[in-house]
Amino acid sequence: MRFTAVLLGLLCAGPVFSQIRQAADPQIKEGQLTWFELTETKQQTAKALGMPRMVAVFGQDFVSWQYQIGVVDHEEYSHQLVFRTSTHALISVTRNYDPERTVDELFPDGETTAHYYPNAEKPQYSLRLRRLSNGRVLMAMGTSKAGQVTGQIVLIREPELRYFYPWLFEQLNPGGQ
Amino acid sequence: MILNGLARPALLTLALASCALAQSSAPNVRIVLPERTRLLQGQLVDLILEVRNASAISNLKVTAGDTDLTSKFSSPVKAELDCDTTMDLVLRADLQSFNTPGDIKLNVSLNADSLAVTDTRTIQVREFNYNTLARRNIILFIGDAMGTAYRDAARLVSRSIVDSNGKNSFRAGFFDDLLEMDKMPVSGMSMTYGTDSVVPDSANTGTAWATGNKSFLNAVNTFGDGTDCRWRFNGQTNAATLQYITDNPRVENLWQYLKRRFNYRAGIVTTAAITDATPAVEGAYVGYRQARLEIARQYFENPMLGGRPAFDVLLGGGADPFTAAGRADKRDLINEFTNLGYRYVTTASELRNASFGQPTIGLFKGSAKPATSSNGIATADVNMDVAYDKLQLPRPASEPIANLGGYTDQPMLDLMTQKAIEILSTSFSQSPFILMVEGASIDKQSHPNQAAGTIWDTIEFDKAVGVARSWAAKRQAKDTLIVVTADHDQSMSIIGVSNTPDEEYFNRTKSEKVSFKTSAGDQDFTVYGDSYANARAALPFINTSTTASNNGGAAGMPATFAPSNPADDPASSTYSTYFGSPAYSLDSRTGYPLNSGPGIRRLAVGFRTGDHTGSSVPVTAEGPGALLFTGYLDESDLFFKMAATLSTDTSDLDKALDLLINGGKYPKTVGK
Repeated sequence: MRFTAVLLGLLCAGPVFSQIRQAADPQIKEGQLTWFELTETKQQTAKALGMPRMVAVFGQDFVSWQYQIGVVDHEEYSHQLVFRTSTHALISVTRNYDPERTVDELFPDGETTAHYYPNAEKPQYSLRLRRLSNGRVLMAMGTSKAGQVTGQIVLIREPELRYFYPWLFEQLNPGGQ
Repeated sequence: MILNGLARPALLTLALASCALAQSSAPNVRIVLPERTRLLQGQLVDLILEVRNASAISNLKVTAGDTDLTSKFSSPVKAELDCDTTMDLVLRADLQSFNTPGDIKLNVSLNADSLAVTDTRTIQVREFNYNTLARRNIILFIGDAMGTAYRDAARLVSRSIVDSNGKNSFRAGFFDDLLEMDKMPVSGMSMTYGTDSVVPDSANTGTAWATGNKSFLNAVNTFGDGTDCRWRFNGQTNAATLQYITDNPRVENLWQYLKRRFNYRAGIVTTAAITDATPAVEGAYVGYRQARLEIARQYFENPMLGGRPAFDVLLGGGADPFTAAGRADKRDLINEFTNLGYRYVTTASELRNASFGQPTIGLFKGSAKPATSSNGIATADVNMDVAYDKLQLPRPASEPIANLGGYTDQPMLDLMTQKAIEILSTSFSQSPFILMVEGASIDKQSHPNQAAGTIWDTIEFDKAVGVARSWAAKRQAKDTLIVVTADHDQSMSIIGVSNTPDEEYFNRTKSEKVSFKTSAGDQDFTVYGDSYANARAALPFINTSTTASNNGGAAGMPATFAPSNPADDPASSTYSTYFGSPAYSLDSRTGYPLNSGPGIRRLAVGFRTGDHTGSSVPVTAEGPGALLFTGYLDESDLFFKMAATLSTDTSDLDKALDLLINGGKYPKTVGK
């Protein structure tokens, strides 16, 4: 809710370059994490981040908006937002970092869990996950503990993990619970 | 019932929509190959069937012409294609090939949950009868992003040399001596579009020239499939999605095709990291070009070669994904290469001493402390330094100061090319060879609009072409085809010449801010004295040709660097101008033009963007079968034309070309 208020503030004021930068990354204000609520419309998203550099339809029901905000390698995108084409709902925001960095401030110990692919016994990959309000989860990809750098954070609606991270969805919802 | 004109289309639309909806949820089968799949006889390709909306299949039948391929396919494996909730199945027949030339009809029929479904593809299979007597070599030069303006810039800078008597080698619009690649007798143009993009990247363009087939952005010798939604466009490229990045249908490239079937020796030379996209298409098969650890592994354990190494020579940057510290699996691939008898070199000095046929891996740059990226599939991307910096030329003020990071003995591309040819051509087996040489940073320097870096890299590239041409010309048997082209274009253009004096061109303390308003707010840029010689994309590039232009505004550039009076002598101006010709002096020590000094008059270039373009790129060719490369052609044709020079008698073409060049009857270009 807090980010929506911030976002609406941005929209009313008219977006400026510095505000795009503010919307580009999660913000910690007064101890609260504010970023996308994943209820934003395409219009609101475009006003917050500007127009995407590339738009691509993929899968059965998805469209991706890809951005290059700031200095990024030309092969990569700074942001990749995924909407459902059927409902226009924003379902995930991926933020890439190059060079990699620590994001520990976004993942306080008591609210963060580590998950391993395919399992904790023989991990090939890991991520830290924090559940946020309104069914959102924030993930620090490729990390398992504080102090590790990451090249990517992902904010996604938890039910959508079923389609993009089935292994994680299964770990969070054993037996499909 | 008669429908009126308004209702009919509406109902039709509804009906079509319903039909599409029904179709999308009904069982169906798809052969995962592009509509226009083209192969050589015997070229390997994965045949994959995707069965959607079905939990079981029966009565599978797959035929290719008269041949029954059904038994080649695996049992169906459950899959979730398209990232939806339907039940899907996948069947694979890996590394298949077709041995009869012609249009092969691939037919698939099966019962999916008891519903009969079918799909077909027509695959064009081109004849390949290897000419064992000719045993020709192929050297393919890829100037990454080297569109026409890049060739032009290299020529205008390196061939506008003023000698000690003040005579310019570019006079009155003619050059005394053209570029090496200009002198090649045959030229054409290559269209570079991908399956999903007008503006391609080095991966899908490389797939086109290396395999003869087009694909999607970032794809290395693979086609798109139904699991791409797991990683493509949502950025989820990591160790947990690697299985979906490596499950795409693969199509064999010419390097492995010739090595596997005819014992060719194979090599790659690049100034990029050796696992970058352009070299990767000669030795790896992945859906995503940045899966560097997997690409390095496939160089060592190539899937088309039964797990043998892909190359006899690998020279480039990017050591990290070959090191135990850089790899997630902690394998030391450099050590594994040397255990197989490869020589490992890391400096120009070591490379100079390498000769004869011993397989060689040369990695001339890497990280001080290699480490696996957090995504688990890559390392830091460490390219070799660019020619301009290796030559220790001072960078213009807007370009970053060189930092070789302790790698002060990196070879130039011409040395790398010379040694690769020496090594490949002197095997005990006397096998012919196929070699790719890439000038990588023509592109990499063009992305940030660094004109000096880009142009000098193109000159370096041309010197490497010269090495190959000279080597081929000295051979008694005219058995080496040399092709020079780009994978795609970039946005640089030639805009004139510049009189910017050195004290401004190199001055990092003198700059000004340029601001302009956009819908996203004010945007600020810092410009230096060289920025007007080399107009960068970030600048508000005001079109002063006409006041009616949509780019209209105050004519001219911001004040600091502009002449106070437009009538001033251009020689005192820092503007670029149409008038006059470039003038450089030659560094006799290196053979490269200097970018400073008294009397210099620089080429001025502009950048419209910092990215690739969809414009076609030039191709030049020399040697047996070169005439095949004339005219406008598709980039994927390069593969088939290179193959044709090995499998067909090109003597009639070669005689005609010889008559054209050496017959004395036809006009010749000055400087050729």
